[in-house]
Amino acid sequence: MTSLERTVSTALRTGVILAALIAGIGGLSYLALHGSDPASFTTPPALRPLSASERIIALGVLVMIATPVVRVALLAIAFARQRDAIFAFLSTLVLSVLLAALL
Amino acid sequence: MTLTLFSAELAAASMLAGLIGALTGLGGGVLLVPLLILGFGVNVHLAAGASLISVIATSSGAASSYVRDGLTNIRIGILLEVATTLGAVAGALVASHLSTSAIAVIFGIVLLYSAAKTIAPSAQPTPGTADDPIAVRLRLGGAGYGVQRVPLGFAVMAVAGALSGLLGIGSGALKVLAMDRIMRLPFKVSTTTSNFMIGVTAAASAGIYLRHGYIDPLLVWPVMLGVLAGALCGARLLHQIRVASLRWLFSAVIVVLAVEMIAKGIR
Repeated sequence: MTSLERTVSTALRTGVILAALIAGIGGLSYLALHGSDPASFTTPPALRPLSASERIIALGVLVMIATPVVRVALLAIAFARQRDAIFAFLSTLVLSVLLAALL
Repeated sequence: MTLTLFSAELAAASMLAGLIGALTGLGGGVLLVPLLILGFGVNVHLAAGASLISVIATSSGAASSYVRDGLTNIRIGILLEVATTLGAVAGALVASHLSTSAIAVIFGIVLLYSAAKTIAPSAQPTPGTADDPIAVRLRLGGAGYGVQRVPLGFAVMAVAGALSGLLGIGSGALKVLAMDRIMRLPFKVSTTTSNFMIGVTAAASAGIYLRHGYIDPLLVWPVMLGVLAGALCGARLLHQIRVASLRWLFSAVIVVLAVEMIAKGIR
């Protein structure tokens, strides 16, 4: 295993565990406060203001989404360091598509 | 039903979807979305949004182990991610304009294809040795294998990305098809590299889903944690049970889900 593979693997694992923990904490705290409210997800989606616990869950979701993005950025840096122009370009291209879609 | 009970049931059902997804190699999303829509009455867009985030979770978690094993071809992954992310953005944009009925029907068709692949997995082609000139130029080959028909593989990957963005699934089956049938990569390299790309592909659609309010935190968290737990259990069990004996059962379930999804769309 190369050091690049090790770095990528660690980044992915850390991101997933962190995201799951944050979302879990937010979700459980929401249930502690509003657990007996009625549940329904049948209506068409609409952007609504989020409560504090929901924002914690949303943060967990954002960390989860960011995890593969960070992985692409790590590869872009690694290819640039290896002076692999084509793959540095390709990973930067993927990163740009991701950032353009997310931001 | 109270939110607590509903969340617990969602988590349990998602765990089952993650478990079967890992055992069949189909991934969590393909079973999760119909389960949420048909079993829990969740809105089609919200179901796809919850699935998309779960797909990022399971793909990234599994990729973490696969990359360590050194089977993942990172160079092929990056090249094809150019196609899948662009496809995913297009798919997510189309999804926001399509009716939920149309999405349900397309989902049903993808399920039928998945059922067919589960019953009759395609015969394993011999990995190619002769390289596509592009593959040589980009040094895509790995230990003991070459890479063929790169442009066609790239095109199929764009379609896989579009389906992922449209339906909130990983499209692992189509990604593997592009890599082992078209580009003639060894099976283990196809599956691990496909998994490697799934998280990035899903992340490309996530921004558009977020902006349209398709990602509801209260729905996402029990689903995501459930699928993740199920997928982890599935990966452990995979070495201990004979999946082949369960193939027919899984396919039958998928066919039922497919018919129900199409019926829901047409109704």
